[in-house]
This record gives sequence, C-alpha cells and structure tokens, in this order.
Amino acid sequence: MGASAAAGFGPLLTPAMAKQAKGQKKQILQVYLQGGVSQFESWDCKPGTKYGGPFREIQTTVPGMKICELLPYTAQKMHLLSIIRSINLKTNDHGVGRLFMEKGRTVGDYPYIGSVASRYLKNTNDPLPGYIHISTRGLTDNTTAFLEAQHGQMKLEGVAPPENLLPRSGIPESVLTKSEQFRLQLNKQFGTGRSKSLIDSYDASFDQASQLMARKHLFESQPKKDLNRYGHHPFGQNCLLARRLLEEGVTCVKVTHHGYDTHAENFNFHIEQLDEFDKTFATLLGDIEDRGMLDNVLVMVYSEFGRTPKINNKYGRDHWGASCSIALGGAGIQPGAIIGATNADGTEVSDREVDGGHLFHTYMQAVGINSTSDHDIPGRSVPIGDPAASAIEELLA
Amino acid sequence: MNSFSAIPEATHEIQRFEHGEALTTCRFSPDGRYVFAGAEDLAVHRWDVSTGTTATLEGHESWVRRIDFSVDGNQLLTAGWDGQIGFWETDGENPQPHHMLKAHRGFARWVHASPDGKSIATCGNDLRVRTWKLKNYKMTADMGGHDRHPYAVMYHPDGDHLASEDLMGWIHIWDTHRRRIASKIHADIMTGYDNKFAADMGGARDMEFHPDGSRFACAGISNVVNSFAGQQDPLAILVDWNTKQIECHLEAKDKATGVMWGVSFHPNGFVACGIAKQNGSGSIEFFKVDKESIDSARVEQTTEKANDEQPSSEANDKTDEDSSESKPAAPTLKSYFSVAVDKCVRGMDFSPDGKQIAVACSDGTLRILEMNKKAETDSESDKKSEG
Repeated sequence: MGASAAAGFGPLLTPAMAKQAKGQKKQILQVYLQGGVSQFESWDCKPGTKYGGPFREIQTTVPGMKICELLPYTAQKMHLLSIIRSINLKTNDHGVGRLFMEKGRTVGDYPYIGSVASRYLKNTNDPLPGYIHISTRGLTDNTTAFLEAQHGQMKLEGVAPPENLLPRSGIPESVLTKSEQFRLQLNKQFGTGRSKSLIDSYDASFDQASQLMARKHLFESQPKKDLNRYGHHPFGQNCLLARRLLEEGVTCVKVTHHGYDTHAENFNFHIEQLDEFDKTFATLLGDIEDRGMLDNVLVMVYSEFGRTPKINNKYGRDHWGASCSIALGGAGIQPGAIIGATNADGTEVSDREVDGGHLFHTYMQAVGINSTSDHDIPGRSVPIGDPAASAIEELLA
Repeated sequence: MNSFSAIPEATHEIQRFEHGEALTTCRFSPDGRYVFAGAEDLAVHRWDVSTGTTATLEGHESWVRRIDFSVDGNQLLTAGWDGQIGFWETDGENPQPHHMLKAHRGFARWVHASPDGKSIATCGNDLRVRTWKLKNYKMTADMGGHDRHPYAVMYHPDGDHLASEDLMGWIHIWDTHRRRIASKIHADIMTGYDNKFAADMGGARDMEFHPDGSRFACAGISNVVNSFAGQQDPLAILVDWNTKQIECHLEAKDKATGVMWGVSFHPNGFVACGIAKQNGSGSIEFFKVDKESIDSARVEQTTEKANDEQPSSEANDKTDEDSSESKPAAPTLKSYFSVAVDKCVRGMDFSPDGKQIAVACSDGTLRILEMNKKAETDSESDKKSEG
C-alpha cells in the first residue's frame, strides 16, 4: 500500500472530514437489490395512474414523503433516509447499469465504490478486509481496477465462511507454524526484484484473511434472538452478518438481495421479495442507528436500474433506466429529503436529473472522500469521480 | 346434440369489446345479460352482451382479480388487492357498491359465495381464510394455517367445507363448522423454486368445484424454469373430493409456456382452461375428464414408462422391504381441442346457458367466444344453394 493511502486520510479527504475521521472511521453499507427493483413498487409510487400498478402508497415518518405499501417497516425509518427519484441511467442493460451505479462511469477501468472506500477509508491497522460482499450467488467482478489487490471485494456465499478460511482439522500446531515460516520464506524470495507496494499488497490480503480466520465466530453461529428479528431466511442472515462485520470495522459491506428482474409476475414477486427485504432492512437500519453508528455509516439501497412503466402481458415490468430511484442515508447525507421527481405517469424524469456519475460523487463526498481529486496512484492521474458529473450538493449534510 | 348445445370444436369469436386497459378477470352475470371484468385501471367494467353498453364500477383502490355473485344473482362480489371486498348492485346505469368490506390486511385475493346464499369466503395476504355473513358483513370465522399467501378459496357445494390453495401448492380443506383444517393436500406440482432468482412461484390462479361436489380443479403453473421471465408450464389439476387425491393433471396438447389463469367445468362434462402464453398469445384448451379418459391416460403413461425403463440389477436386488410401491403419479390429460386467442387469457367464464365463453385478455379486450357452428350468412347460404 502506498504511503499516503496507508495513512488513509490523505489529501483526498475534505479537511473537516479528515479531522473527524481520525476518531471515527466512515463506513458504507450497500444493499443491492439485484435485477432492478421497480421504482413504482418501492420509492416512487404512482397509484391510480396509467402505469401505477395495483399497490398504494403509504405515509412515512417524514411528512409528505410517501413510499409503496410493500415497505411498511422501512416507512417507519424514512426519517433516517432520503430518496432520489430522478435518476436517468440511459441504459436498460444489467451489466452497464450495474457498473454505472458502482463505478460512476459506464465505460473504462475504474474501481467500485467498495474498493475506493477500502482504499481511502480503511486504516492500515484495520485487521479485516476493507470490502466484503455477501451474496448467495454469482456475479464475480474485478472491483479494484488499478487499485491494490487487497481492496478487491471479498465475496462471501451467504453466511458460510470463505473457502479454506479454517485450517484442516487434525493438523498439529507445530506443522502450521512451520507452514507459515515456509510461506514467509517463499514470500521473501518472491519479493526480490519486485516492487515493495505489490508485495505489501499481497501481504495485506493474507493478513486480512488471517484476521478473518481469527473471527470465525462470526460464521459459526448467529444469535437466535437477532435472527428472530432479522428473519431466518438467507437475506436476514446475511444482513445480520453485515451488521456484525460493520461492528468489527469492515469499511464497506455489501449485501445483495436477489430476485427483482421481474419480467413476469412483477407484482407477486415484489410482494414476496420486498416482504423479505422490508422488515430485515428496517431492522438492520434500526440497529445501526441504535448503536450510534449511523453518523459514520453511509447506507445505500440501490439497483442497476428500475422497471418499465408499461406493464407487459405477463404482469411483468421490463428493464428501465430512464427514471429510477434509490434510497440512501447515514454518514454525510441529509435525512428525510426527496431529490428530483418524475412526471405524473413515471415515464421520465421531470426535475433534477442525475445519473450514476452524480451518485458516485455523492457517495464519496458523503463519506469524506474528495471525489473531484485524483486517485493516489504513482505516475497516473485518474479522477476518482467522473469530472463531467458532480455531487448532489443539496443532499450532503 | 348435447343438453347445452355446446360444441367445443366449433368455438369461434362472435364479439369483441375493447376497453383499452388490460383486463384481469371476468365473469358472466348469472342471468347471462352482462359480463363483468376487472382491469388494471382499478375499476370493474360491465358490458351488456347484447347491446355492448358499458358501465364502470369504481370503488376499489387496487386491482380486482376475482369476481363472484351472490347465489340469488343480485349482488356482485369483488375481491381487490386493496384488501377490500366489494358488494355491488348488478343492474342500473351506474352500479354502486352497497358496501366495501375491509376484509384483509394487505390484499384480498379471492371471494366466493356460499351455496346457501348466506355467507362468503375470502382469503388474503395476511394468510387468513375468513367467512363473513352476507346480510351484515360480520366475520364468522377467521382461520389461519397457510404459511404462504393463499391465492384462492372456494366453498364445496355442501357448504360445510372450503378448499383453499396457497403459493406453495398446499390445498387446505376447512371444516366451516369447526373452523379448522380438516385435511391437507400438497399439490407440489403446482409450485416451484426459481433457483436463479431465489423466489417461489406457484399457487392457484383459478379454482372451481364441480357442481356435484365430486371433484375440484385448480389452475396455475408447473415446471418452473425461469418464472421471472415467465418460463414455466401452464397446468391444472383435478382433485377427487372423496379420496383427496389428485386425479389427473391437465396440460395443453401443444407444448405451451406460460400460466393457466382459468379453469371451469362445463355442464356437458368437459373442462375448459384459459392460458396466457409467454409469447403474448393465449388459448382456450378443452379436456375430456370422464373416468374413461383418465383411465386411458393412466394406462398409456404406465405403458410408456414400462417401455422406457430397462430392468436393472439394482431393481432385481430389491428385498421385500423395498417392494412397497410408491404412489403412482397422477396421469396427465392433454387437451383434445384448443382454440387460439390473439392475446394472453387472464380469465374466462362460461355463460349460464353454456354456449359461450367470456375471455378477459391482456390487451384490454373482452372476447366472447361461441361454442357452436358459425351461423351462415345469407351470401354463404346462397352460394351453397347455387352449388
């Protein structure tokens, strides 16, 4: 790891944030609703309109802010969150939409939010990986681009420990010690003639894995009392693990909830999926608040795009990036705001259009990273955020 | 000629009523004068079949996916995803609700009037199956037992029992007097887990008892492949009331992908099912469901299975303890006749005289099909005479 990055709070942090960050590290919780949650069935309802669908809107804890009736528990936590309803991603492609939402760009080799956070927010003495993604399947990405390997996402398949995390049973301690000595010897030989930062990066990755091994209790059992609140289903278990990883100091934790690519039976599937999401997410958000962590944890709920206004003949909605929504709150974000709007039928953005570039700048600046500066990599000048976009200033606290 | 002059093989479209907003379900009124249909505009729409005159019934705040009538035919009953059951007058230029009953927290999926005309049964996303007095809308039973959303509930013609089916294919038979589950049937063929998207798909999209109470039918899906893209097979089952066993599965004769949204017993003995296909078209499938047809299908499938299976040493090594045969799978009946419909079928109903079928379609059109030979036009008749 480079020196300035190792410090964690180099010139990339705004001065105010740098001062604060010395004592309180910023973290990020990403809740990714994979496949494209419908904005009509979540954050931007249009009941009684041509494309509104069957669901009604309900009042939240923020006067005048209404969301879909499928989110009654989240509605009781909306004073902690804000909604952006005017996102136009200009793509209906899963891959492009996902990259835009994660990297702030649709093309080019740039790191994901989690990797950037790990690079610039993680303290060198933080023992655990900086970016952990809990999912139940698929989607392996290179999230680091040009950043060091240890900032890549560590993918967990649900609450199961990473493969090969624990040593094989029955191996004597003395053998393990010798094995480690041998590894260090090979490492030394491998490092001869190679850049120190590269070797440091590999070492850091190994150390992180070792520290995770030391916390195997995180994977061995989850408190039943907590599971009863979060839900015993995989998403409930994953969110509980996410909270515990944030408590352990992991810089960015991403939880993926699958099942929103609803080309057919959009409404029944949203009933099922959001029913699972709603109570669990509201519980997680409440726990983060109760623990006094919310000032330091940026919470994002997002998808790669939204869903079409038009309801197709299979009771489905298809891909739609032209007018979609996200919710976010916590560190650096004004709570209780609604940014932008769509027109009456929800077919297009009518006010304060933003895209993935604006969102990326906003996330970064919310956690104190100066997204208008360049990445801290030797010999290259790579802007952290897309210079053509800027943060949503009115949303920043 | 049969008693209802219905000839499925002669089925053809005779009327088309355009609405514009996609329809969700439909029913003939008991006197056959009207067809009522739910729509994605949150209203229920009424067509006078003979004149085409329309009326709009407004009162629900969400989609209506199930329509029924009181036994005397004077009240229209509607179940809405706003959790309400609507009680409406059927006649009049501008029908109004007598009452809107908040029946379920969440969505009211189904409503059905009891045979004695005194009660209705409902089910909803609060996982409850409930009965209510028709005269004062008071709840008379509040029954839990479904772990997942029940999609449909029907009174048995004896009035002493209800049958309900949930998302996971569990059919509960309820004793209406003791207000509890009398028995359960697992129609696991009607549900599936989509591994890719990590969600369940299934349940009854339509349900109907045979008027004599000897059997009931549930329509829906099977063989989930990718339900998020609509890739599963349309399927209905027939359940024997006495044995509580699935008698047979009903499938379209030509392989179809989609959802079976309608199933109905015709007085002449056949069953018709309405299908919404993944490609956007639809069909009405006709099935012979008499004992002979079911037995014949069973024999055919047993023979096919026997021909496909080669004896193996493993099978020959079975001990007496292993010899208990597993329950034979219900045979699959293929439709013997199919009528194509331009667009996805989302609901269907026989007319009271058994001659017509009302079909609610995804393109916002109500189609009326007649199960009889086309009436000859004067010119056609003249041509024949000349010939």
